[in-house]
Amino acid sequence: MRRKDEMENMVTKKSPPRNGGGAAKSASSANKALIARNLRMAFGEVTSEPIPDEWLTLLSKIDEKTGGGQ
Amino acid sequence: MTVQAPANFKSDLIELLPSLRAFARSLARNPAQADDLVQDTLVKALANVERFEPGTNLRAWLFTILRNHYYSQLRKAKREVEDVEGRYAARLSARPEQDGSVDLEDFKAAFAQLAPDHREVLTLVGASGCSYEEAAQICQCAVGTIKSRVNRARKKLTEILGLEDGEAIVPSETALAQDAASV
Repeated sequence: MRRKDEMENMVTKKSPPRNGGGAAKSASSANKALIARNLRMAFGEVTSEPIPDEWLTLLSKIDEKTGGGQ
Repeated sequence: MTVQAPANFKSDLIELLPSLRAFARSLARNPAQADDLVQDTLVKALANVERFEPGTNLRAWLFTILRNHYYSQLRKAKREVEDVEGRYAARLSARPEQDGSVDLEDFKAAFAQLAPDHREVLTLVGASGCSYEEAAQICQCAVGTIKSRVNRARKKLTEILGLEDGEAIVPSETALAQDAASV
């Protein structure tokens, strides 16, 4: 039975069954850290770009209520 | 003409603009489209400001508006057909380094090949610092769905980058077929 599963995986090139590879199934902690690091770098690049004046002009229409609500 | 808003609404919103833009960038195909998304989101936020309940999560509120707008545009334009082609072209450029690290540009190219639901969860949870609960609120799905999406998205990225742990690199035709199937 097991062999049949493996054959099917080879033929269809599917990932192995969930319990098949143990740690190989999800990204390793080293790869998770690498992904997290790169995500934060890519995110940081975008968030450090100057905000377009157009957006601030749009937001200047907002008249905030002052104090504790109402 | 002015729009009446709760106290601190404008200042809080301005503070959120960089991360809103980064979220848009993770969904849109290019920076210009992302900025259009943000602009449209701001217009919608102002038009619906009375629906925002002071004291609730402004970030989730804004991100949800942007996300809904993105997906409604996507449905209209059916741009995903082009997306798959774009992802295939970008796939060819990604190469893992000898030491297992990756170049940021290669990472971004690999990230762009992910399906939108994978790109958004990685950005929300992995970069914006959203909790799983907040990401679930924004994506309008269960917390468990967010968790499994994050896992699948990470797994896919490691595959595209050729960083799998001792597994053979998935052939690109297969990965492309999976991409196509997931959209």
